[in-house]
Amino acid sequence: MLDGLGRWNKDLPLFESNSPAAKEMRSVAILASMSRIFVRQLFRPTYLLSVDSGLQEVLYRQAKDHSAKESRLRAAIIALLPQEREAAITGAVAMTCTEVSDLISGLLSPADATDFAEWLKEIAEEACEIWQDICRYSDSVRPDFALKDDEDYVWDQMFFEEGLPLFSDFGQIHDHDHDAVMFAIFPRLYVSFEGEEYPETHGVLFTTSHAQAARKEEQMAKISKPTRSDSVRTKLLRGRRPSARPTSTRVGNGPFRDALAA
Amino acid sequence: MICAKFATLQCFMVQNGLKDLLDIFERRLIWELQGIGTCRATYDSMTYLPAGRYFLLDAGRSWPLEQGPAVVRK
Repeated sequence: MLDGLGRWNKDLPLFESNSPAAKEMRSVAILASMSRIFVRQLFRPTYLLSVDSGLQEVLYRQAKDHSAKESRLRAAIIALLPQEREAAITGAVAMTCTEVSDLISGLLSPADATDFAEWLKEIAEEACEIWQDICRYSDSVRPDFALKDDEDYVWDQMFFEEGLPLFSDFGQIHDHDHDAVMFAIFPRLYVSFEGEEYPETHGVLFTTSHAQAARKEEQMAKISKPTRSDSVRTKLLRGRRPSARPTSTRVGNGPFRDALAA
Repeated sequence: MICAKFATLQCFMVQNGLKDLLDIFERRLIWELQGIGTCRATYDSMTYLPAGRYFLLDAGRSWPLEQGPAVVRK
C-alpha cells in the first residue's frame, strides 16, 4: 500500500519494543505516513481524476512556465462537472481514511477503531475543504517533502520530551551537518510566482539526533538476539559429539571447530 | 515498508497514544494549511479565482461562463 510513497523511512529505527524511544519512532513514522497519504489523496486540484493522472505535475510545470495560464486552466478544471464533484470529494476522503486505517490496522480495539475512523474522517474533510479554497487562489500552491533551503524560511523540527511531542525551529538545513536531517514529517507549501517557487509554510523535519536513543536500542537488540542461523547452529552443536578424527581445516568449518575446542 | 513492520508488533502503543497522535496531526496539518490561507487572504485577496463562474476560452484570457461563448459569436 505504501509503495508509492517512496523510501523516506529507510533510516528510521522501527523495531519490536515498547520502550519510549521505540514508541517515539513509531509515532514519527505514523505521522509522516499520514501526511504523505493526505498530500497524495487530498492535496490535488481536482478529485475527478485519479491520483496517478499526472495532471498535477503538468499544472505545476505550467505554473513555473506561465503562471497565468496555469491559474486559468486550474479554474476551468475546478469548475468541471459540479454534480460529480461532491461524490469525487467523498471518494477521496474515503480513500484517505482507508489508507490510514490500513496503516494502523490491528493497533486499536474495534470500538476505538470506530472512534478513530470518525475523527480521521472529520480531519480529512476539514483538510479537503481548506485545500479546495487554496486551489482557488490564482497562485499555484504545491506541497513538497523535499529538503530544500530558503533564505527567508526556516524549517521546524519535531522531537519528544518526556514522551510529549514538541515542535521548534530547526533553522536552515545548510547550517547543520549534512546528515542531520532524516526526512520531512510535514511538507512545506510552496507558491509559484513568475517562474519561481517560494515557501509559505515552514514544514516539519525529523532529525537523526532525535533517533539516536532508538538506534542504540535497536543495535543492542540485534546484538543480544540470536539470529535464526545462530539458533540452528547451536542445535547442531548440541547434538554433535567430539570425534576422535582430527579437526578439519577446510575453509568454512571454523566456527564449528572453535566451538568444539571450547 | 513500515506497514509490514507494524504488523509484526503485538503491543504497539496504548490506545490513547494513537488518539493523541491524531490530535497532533490535526493541529499541525490544519495549522499549516490555514497559515497559507491567511497569508494569501492578507496579501493577495484580489487574485482569488471565482472558480465555477469562469470558463477558459483562450490561453491567457478567461470570461465568465455565461458570457464567454457569446462574446466569441459576436
